[in-house]
Amino acid sequence: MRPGALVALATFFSTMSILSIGGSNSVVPEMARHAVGEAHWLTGGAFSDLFAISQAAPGPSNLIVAMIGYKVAGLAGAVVAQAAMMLPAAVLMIVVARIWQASSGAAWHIALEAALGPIAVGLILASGWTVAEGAGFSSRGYSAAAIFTLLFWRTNLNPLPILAIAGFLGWMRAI
Amino acid sequence: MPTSDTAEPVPVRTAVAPGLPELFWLFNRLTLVSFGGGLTAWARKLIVEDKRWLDDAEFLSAYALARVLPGANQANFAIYVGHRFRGVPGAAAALLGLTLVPFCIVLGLAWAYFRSGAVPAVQDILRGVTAAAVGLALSAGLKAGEGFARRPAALAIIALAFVGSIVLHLPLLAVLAILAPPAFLVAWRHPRRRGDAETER
Repeated sequence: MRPGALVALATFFSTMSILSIGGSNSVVPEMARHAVGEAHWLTGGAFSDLFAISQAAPGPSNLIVAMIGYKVAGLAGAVVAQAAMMLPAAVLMIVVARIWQASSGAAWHIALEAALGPIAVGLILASGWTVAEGAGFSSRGYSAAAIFTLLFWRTNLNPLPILAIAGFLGWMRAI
Repeated sequence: MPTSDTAEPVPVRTAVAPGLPELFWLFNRLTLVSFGGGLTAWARKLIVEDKRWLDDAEFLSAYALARVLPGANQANFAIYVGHRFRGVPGAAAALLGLTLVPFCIVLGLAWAYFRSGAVPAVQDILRGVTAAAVGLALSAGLKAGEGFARRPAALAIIALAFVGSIVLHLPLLAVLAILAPPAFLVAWRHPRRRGDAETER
Protein backbone atom coordinates (compact mmCIF):
# COMPACT_ATOMS: atom_id res chain seq x y z
CA MET A 1 0.00 0.00 0.00
CA ARG A 2 2.69 2.46 1.04
CA PRO A 3 4.98 2.19 -2.01
CA GLY A 4 1.87 2.40 -4.17
CA ALA A 5 0.85 5.60 -2.39
CA LEU A 6 4.29 7.10 -2.92
CA VAL A 7 4.20 6.26 -6.62
CA ALA A 8 0.74 7.81 -6.90
CA LEU A 9 1.95 10.99 -5.18
CA ALA A 10 5.05 11.20 -7.36
CA THR A 11 3.11 10.63 -10.58
CA PHE A 12 0.38 13.13 -9.83
CA PHE A 13 2.53 15.96 -8.46
CA SER A 14 5.24 15.71 -11.12
CA THR A 15 2.47 16.24 -13.68
CA MET A 16 1.20 19.23 -11.68
CA SER A 17 4.76 20.58 -11.62
CA ILE A 18 4.98 20.84 -15.39
CA LEU A 19 1.42 22.14 -15.75
CA SER A 20 1.81 24.92 -13.17
CA ILE A 21 2.42 27.68 -15.68
CA GLY A 22 2.21 31.10 -14.07
CA GLY A 23 2.87 29.74 -10.59
CA SER A 24 1.89 26.77 -8.48
CA ASN A 25 -1.41 28.34 -7.43
CA SER A 26 -2.64 27.92 -11.00
CA VAL A 27 -2.97 24.14 -10.46
CA VAL A 28 -4.63 24.31 -7.03
CA PRO A 29 -8.12 23.68 -8.51
CA GLU A 30 -6.83 20.59 -10.32
CA MET A 31 -5.08 19.43 -7.14
CA ALA A 32 -8.31 19.80 -5.18
CA ARG A 33 -10.27 17.91 -7.84
CA HIS A 34 -7.87 14.98 -7.82
CA ALA A 35 -6.84 14.86 -4.14
CA VAL A 36 -10.38 15.26 -2.79
CA GLY A 37 -12.65 13.89 -5.50
CA GLU A 38 -10.66 11.15 -7.24
CA ALA A 39 -7.91 9.87 -4.96
CA HIS A 40 -9.77 10.63 -1.68
CA TRP A 41 -6.52 11.65 -0.03
CA LEU A 42 -8.34 14.15 2.20
CA THR A 43 -11.68 15.97 2.58
CA GLY A 44 -12.55 19.23 0.86
CA GLY A 45 -12.60 21.01 4.19
CA ALA A 46 -9.14 19.76 5.08
CA PHE A 47 -7.87 20.80 1.64
CA SER A 48 -9.14 24.36 2.18
CA ASP A 49 -7.62 24.50 5.66
CA LEU A 50 -4.25 23.22 4.42
CA PHE A 51 -4.30 25.72 1.58
CA ALA A 52 -4.88 28.56 4.06
CA ILE A 53 -2.05 27.29 6.27
CA SER A 54 0.33 26.96 3.31
CA GLN A 55 -0.40 30.52 2.17
CA ALA A 56 0.22 31.89 5.66
CA ALA A 57 3.42 29.94 6.21
CA PRO A 58 6.77 31.21 4.89
CA GLY A 59 8.34 29.62 1.84
CA PRO A 60 7.38 28.82 -1.74
CA SER A 61 3.67 28.83 -2.56
CA ASN A 62 3.46 25.09 -3.27
CA LEU A 63 3.99 23.76 0.26
CA ILE A 64 0.38 22.53 0.44
CA VAL A 65 1.80 19.61 -1.54
CA ALA A 66 4.06 18.60 1.37
CA MET A 67 1.06 18.60 3.70
CA ILE A 68 -1.03 16.47 1.34
CA GLY A 69 1.88 14.05 1.00
CA TYR A 70 2.19 13.97 4.79
CA LYS A 71 -1.50 13.11 5.13
CA VAL A 72 -1.21 10.29 2.60
CA ALA A 73 2.07 8.65 3.61
CA GLY A 74 3.72 10.47 6.51
CA LEU A 75 7.19 12.01 6.26
CA ALA A 76 8.17 9.92 3.22
CA GLY A 77 4.98 11.03 1.49
CA ALA A 78 5.76 14.68 2.23
CA VAL A 79 9.29 14.41 0.83
CA VAL A 80 8.22 12.48 -2.28
CA ALA A 81 5.26 14.77 -3.06
CA GLN A 82 7.24 17.98 -2.56
CA ALA A 83 10.20 16.72 -4.61
CA ALA A 84 7.85 15.63 -7.40
CA MET A 85 6.21 19.07 -7.35
CA MET A 86 9.54 20.89 -7.58
CA LEU A 87 11.98 18.85 -9.66
CA PRO A 88 10.43 18.82 -13.17
CA ALA A 89 9.80 22.58 -13.10
CA ALA A 90 13.29 23.10 -11.64
CA VAL A 91 14.94 21.22 -14.51
CA LEU A 92 13.07 23.36 -17.03
CA MET A 93 14.01 26.56 -15.19
CA ILE A 94 17.67 25.51 -15.13
CA VAL A 95 17.62 24.90 -18.90
CA VAL A 96 16.04 28.30 -19.57
CA ALA A 97 18.34 30.07 -17.09
CA ARG A 98 21.34 28.44 -18.77
CA ILE A 99 20.28 29.63 -22.24
CA TRP A 100 19.37 33.09 -20.95
CA GLN A 101 22.56 33.60 -18.94
CA ALA A 102 24.81 32.24 -21.70
CA SER A 103 23.38 34.75 -24.19
CA SER A 104 23.83 37.82 -21.99
CA GLY A 105 25.83 39.79 -24.58
CA ALA A 106 23.56 39.01 -27.54
CA ALA A 107 21.48 41.74 -29.12
CA TRP A 108 18.24 39.75 -28.80
CA HIS A 109 18.94 39.15 -25.10
CA ILE A 110 19.52 42.84 -24.46
CA ALA A 111 16.36 43.82 -26.33
CA LEU A 112 14.28 41.12 -24.62
CA GLU A 113 15.61 42.14 -21.21
CA ALA A 114 14.69 45.76 -21.94
CA ALA A 115 11.23 44.64 -23.07
CA LEU A 116 10.60 42.46 -20.02
CA GLY A 117 11.65 45.15 -17.51
CA PRO A 118 8.57 47.41 -17.65
CA ILE A 119 6.24 44.41 -18.01
CA ALA A 120 7.72 42.89 -14.85
CA VAL A 121 7.29 46.19 -12.98
CA GLY A 122 3.61 46.24 -13.96
CA LEU A 123 3.24 42.62 -12.84
CA ILE A 124 4.92 43.28 -9.48
CA LEU A 125 2.56 46.21 -8.84
CA ALA A 126 -0.37 44.02 -9.89
CA SER A 127 0.73 41.24 -7.52
CA GLY A 128 0.71 43.65 -4.57
CA TRP A 129 -2.72 44.86 -5.61
CA THR A 130 -4.04 41.31 -5.94
CA VAL A 131 -2.86 40.39 -2.44
CA ALA A 132 -4.60 43.49 -1.06
CA GLU A 133 -7.84 42.58 -2.85
CA GLY A 134 -7.74 39.00 -1.57
CA ALA A 135 -6.92 39.92 2.04
CA GLY A 136 -10.42 41.09 2.92
CA PHE A 137 -9.17 44.44 4.22
CA SER A 138 -11.48 47.02 5.77
CA SER A 139 -10.90 50.66 4.79
CA ARG A 140 -8.37 50.79 7.63
CA GLY A 141 -6.52 47.88 6.06
CA TYR A 142 -6.31 49.66 2.73
CA SER A 143 -5.18 52.88 4.42
CA ALA A 144 -2.50 50.96 6.31
CA ALA A 145 -1.32 49.30 3.07
CA ALA A 146 -1.09 52.73 1.41
CA ILE A 147 0.93 54.14 4.32
CA PHE A 148 3.26 51.12 4.33
CA THR A 149 3.74 51.50 0.56
CA LEU A 150 4.83 55.14 0.95
CA LEU A 151 7.02 54.27 3.92
CA PHE A 152 8.86 51.43 2.15
CA TRP A 153 9.11 53.36 -1.11
CA ARG A 154 10.43 56.60 0.31
CA THR A 155 12.68 55.30 3.10
CA ASN A 156 15.29 52.59 3.44
CA LEU A 157 14.03 51.35 6.80
CA ASN A 158 14.54 47.69 7.59
CA PRO A 159 11.15 46.14 6.76
CA LEU A 160 11.38 43.46 9.46
CA PRO A 161 10.53 45.59 12.55
CA ILE A 162 7.82 47.33 10.54
CA LEU A 163 6.29 43.96 9.64
CA ALA A 164 6.40 43.03 13.33
CA ILE A 165 4.65 46.29 14.26
CA ALA A 166 2.06 45.66 11.55
CA GLY A 167 1.44 42.16 12.93
CA PHE A 168 1.01 43.65 16.41
CA LEU A 169 -1.44 46.27 15.08
CA GLY A 170 -3.39 43.48 13.38
CA TRP A 171 -3.44 41.50 16.62
CA MET A 172 -4.80 44.60 18.40
CA ARG A 173 -7.47 44.82 15.65
CA ALA A 174 -6.15 48.23 14.61
CA ILE A 175 -5.69 47.10 10.99
CA MET B 1 25.59 57.24 -3.75
CA PRO B 2 27.44 57.83 -7.02
CA THR B 3 26.42 60.94 -8.87
CA SER B 4 24.78 60.11 -12.16
CA ASP B 5 22.79 61.95 -14.77
CA THR B 6 20.98 58.84 -15.92
CA ALA B 7 18.48 56.63 -14.13
CA GLU B 8 20.73 53.59 -14.49
CA PRO B 9 21.34 51.61 -11.31
CA VAL B 10 24.68 51.10 -9.63
CA PRO B 11 26.75 48.57 -11.62
CA VAL B 12 26.75 44.97 -10.48
CA ARG B 13 29.83 43.87 -8.59
CA THR B 14 30.32 40.76 -10.69
CA ALA B 15 33.69 40.07 -9.05
CA VAL B 16 32.02 38.82 -5.88
CA ALA B 17 30.18 35.72 -7.05
CA PRO B 18 28.51 34.21 -3.97
CA GLY B 19 29.44 30.68 -2.92
CA LEU B 20 27.08 27.80 -2.23
CA PRO B 21 26.69 28.45 1.53
CA GLU B 22 26.05 32.14 0.84
CA LEU B 23 23.33 31.25 -1.68
CA PHE B 24 21.76 28.79 0.75
CA TRP B 25 21.74 31.23 3.66
CA LEU B 26 20.52 34.20 1.65
CA PHE B 27 17.51 32.31 0.34
CA ASN B 28 16.91 30.81 3.76
CA ARG B 29 16.83 34.34 5.18
CA LEU B 30 14.66 35.54 2.30
CA THR B 31 12.09 32.81 2.80
CA LEU B 32 11.82 33.40 6.56
CA VAL B 33 11.54 37.20 6.47
CA SER B 34 8.88 37.03 3.76
CA PHE B 35 6.40 35.44 6.17
CA GLY B 36 3.03 36.93 5.20
CA GLY B 37 4.14 37.67 1.64
CA GLY B 38 6.37 40.16 -0.10
CA LEU B 39 9.11 37.77 -1.18
CA THR B 40 9.69 39.65 -4.43
CA ALA B 41 10.21 42.87 -2.51
CA TRP B 42 12.62 41.23 -0.10
CA ALA B 43 14.45 39.57 -2.98
CA ARG B 44 14.92 42.93 -4.69
CA LYS B 45 16.05 44.58 -1.46
CA LEU B 46 18.55 41.88 -0.50
CA ILE B 47 19.84 40.89 -3.94
CA VAL B 48 19.73 44.17 -5.87
CA GLU B 49 20.10 46.85 -3.17
CA ASP B 50 22.14 45.19 -0.42
CA LYS B 51 24.25 42.46 -2.06
CA ARG B 52 24.23 43.90 -5.61
CA TRP B 53 24.41 40.42 -7.12
CA LEU B 54 22.02 41.53 -9.89
CA ASP B 55 21.10 44.93 -11.31
CA ASP B 56 17.48 45.98 -11.74
CA ALA B 57 17.34 45.05 -15.43
CA GLU B 58 18.48 41.48 -14.80
CA PHE B 59 16.35 41.18 -11.67
CA LEU B 60 13.22 42.17 -13.61
CA SER B 61 13.89 39.83 -16.52
CA ALA B 62 14.62 36.99 -14.07
CA TYR B 63 11.35 37.80 -12.30
CA ALA B 64 9.45 37.63 -15.60
CA LEU B 65 11.06 34.29 -16.52
CA ALA B 66 10.33 32.91 -13.05
CA ARG B 67 6.69 33.97 -13.37
CA VAL B 68 6.06 32.58 -16.84
CA LEU B 69 7.73 29.18 -16.50
CA PRO B 70 5.98 26.34 -14.66
CA GLY B 71 6.68 25.98 -10.96
CA ALA B 72 6.47 28.16 -7.86
CA ASN B 73 7.66 31.66 -8.82
CA GLN B 74 9.88 31.96 -5.76
CA ALA B 75 11.50 28.59 -6.47
CA ASN B 76 12.16 29.51 -10.10
CA PHE B 77 13.70 32.81 -9.04
CA ALA B 78 15.97 31.06 -6.52
CA ILE B 79 17.04 28.63 -9.24
CA TYR B 80 17.82 31.54 -11.58
CA VAL B 81 20.03 33.31 -9.02
CA GLY B 82 21.75 30.13 -7.86
CA HIS B 83 22.46 29.02 -11.41
CA ARG B 84 23.71 32.48 -12.34
CA PHE B 85 26.63 32.23 -9.94
CA ARG B 86 27.27 28.53 -9.27
CA GLY B 87 25.54 26.53 -11.99
CA VAL B 88 23.38 23.55 -11.08
CA PRO B 89 24.87 23.17 -7.56
CA GLY B 90 24.10 26.85 -6.99
CA ALA B 91 20.53 26.35 -8.15
CA ALA B 92 20.19 23.42 -5.76
CA ALA B 93 21.68 25.40 -2.85
CA ALA B 94 19.36 28.36 -3.42
CA LEU B 95 16.30 26.12 -3.85
CA LEU B 96 17.14 24.17 -0.67
CA GLY B 97 17.69 27.41 1.23
CA LEU B 98 14.29 28.63 0.09
CA THR B 99 12.44 25.41 0.87
CA LEU B 100 14.05 23.41 3.67
CA VAL B 101 13.03 25.33 6.80
CA PRO B 102 9.51 26.24 5.54
CA PHE B 103 9.04 22.56 4.60
CA CYS B 104 9.77 21.58 8.23
CA ILE B 105 7.51 24.36 9.57
CA VAL B 106 4.65 23.29 7.31
CA LEU B 107 5.07 19.63 8.35
CA GLY B 108 4.83 20.70 11.98
CA LEU B 109 1.64 22.62 11.17
CA ALA B 110 0.20 19.67 9.22
CA TRP B 111 0.96 17.36 12.14
CA ALA B 112 -0.77 19.77 14.54
CA TYR B 113 -3.70 20.22 12.16
CA PHE B 114 -4.40 16.53 11.69
CA ARG B 115 -4.18 15.95 15.46
CA SER B 116 -6.39 18.86 16.53
CA GLY B 117 -8.37 19.70 13.38
CA ALA B 118 -7.92 23.42 14.07
CA VAL B 119 -6.25 26.06 11.92
CA PRO B 120 -3.73 28.01 14.00
CA ALA B 121 -5.41 31.23 15.13
CA VAL B 122 -3.10 33.75 13.55
CA GLN B 123 -5.64 35.48 11.32
CA ASP B 124 -5.51 38.90 12.99
CA ILE B 125 -1.73 39.05 13.16
CA LEU B 126 -1.54 37.88 9.57
CA ARG B 127 -3.92 40.59 8.37
CA GLY B 128 -1.64 43.25 9.80
CA VAL B 129 1.47 41.62 8.32
CA THR B 130 -0.30 41.32 4.97
CA ALA B 131 -1.02 45.07 4.93
CA ALA B 132 2.70 45.70 5.35
CA ALA B 133 3.58 42.99 2.81
CA VAL B 134 1.31 44.68 0.27
CA GLY B 135 3.16 47.92 0.94
CA LEU B 136 6.46 46.09 0.50
CA ALA B 137 5.41 44.60 -2.86
CA LEU B 138 4.05 47.89 -4.20
CA SER B 139 7.14 49.77 -3.04
CA ALA B 140 9.38 47.24 -4.81
CA GLY B 141 7.44 47.85 -8.02
CA LEU B 142 7.68 51.60 -7.53
CA LYS B 143 11.41 51.49 -6.80
CA ALA B 144 12.14 49.31 -9.81
CA GLY B 145 9.81 51.49 -11.89
CA GLU B 146 11.70 54.67 -11.01
CA GLY B 147 14.37 53.64 -13.50
CA PHE B 148 11.80 54.08 -16.28
CA ALA B 149 10.54 57.47 -15.06
CA ARG B 150 11.73 59.42 -18.12
CA ARG B 151 10.68 56.88 -20.72
CA PRO B 152 7.02 57.34 -21.73
CA ALA B 153 6.89 54.10 -23.75
CA ALA B 154 8.14 52.07 -20.78
CA LEU B 155 5.69 53.80 -18.44
CA ALA B 156 2.87 52.97 -20.84
CA ILE B 157 3.87 49.29 -20.81
CA ILE B 158 4.00 49.29 -16.99
CA ALA B 159 0.48 50.74 -16.93
CA LEU B 160 -0.81 48.29 -19.55
CA ALA B 161 0.66 45.27 -17.73
CA PHE B 162 -1.02 46.45 -14.51
CA VAL B 163 -4.37 47.17 -16.17
CA GLY B 164 -4.28 43.89 -18.09
CA SER B 165 -3.76 41.93 -14.88
CA ILE B 166 -5.99 43.84 -12.48
CA VAL B 167 -8.77 45.42 -14.54
CA LEU B 168 -9.07 43.01 -17.46
CA HIS B 169 -8.09 39.92 -15.38
CA LEU B 170 -5.97 38.60 -18.25
CA PRO B 171 -3.85 35.54 -17.53
CA LEU B 172 -0.12 36.11 -17.25
CA LEU B 173 0.60 34.45 -20.60
CA ALA B 174 -1.87 36.76 -22.36
CA VAL B 175 -0.29 39.86 -20.80
CA LEU B 176 3.13 38.73 -22.02
CA ALA B 177 1.88 37.68 -25.47
CA ILE B 178 0.30 41.09 -26.02
CA LEU B 179 2.98 43.34 -24.54
CA ALA B 180 6.29 41.56 -25.08
CA PRO B 181 6.41 41.64 -28.93
CA PRO B 182 5.89 45.41 -29.33
CA ALA B 183 8.17 46.13 -26.34
CA PHE B 184 10.79 43.85 -27.87
CA LEU B 185 10.58 45.59 -31.25
CA VAL B 186 10.96 49.02 -29.67
CA ALA B 187 13.96 47.86 -27.66
CA TRP B 188 15.43 46.14 -30.73
CA ARG B 189 15.23 49.25 -32.87
CA HIS B 190 16.34 51.64 -30.13
CA PRO B 191 18.92 49.69 -28.13
CA ARG B 192 20.06 51.26 -24.89
CA ARG B 193 23.13 49.81 -23.31
CA ARG B 194 24.12 49.89 -19.70
CA GLY B 195 27.81 50.55 -19.88
CA ASP B 196 29.97 48.13 -21.76
CA ALA B 197 28.64 47.13 -25.20
CA GLU B 198 28.81 50.58 -26.77
CA THR B 199 31.99 49.66 -28.63
CA GLU B 200 30.42 46.65 -30.32
CA ARG B 201 28.30 48.72 -32.65
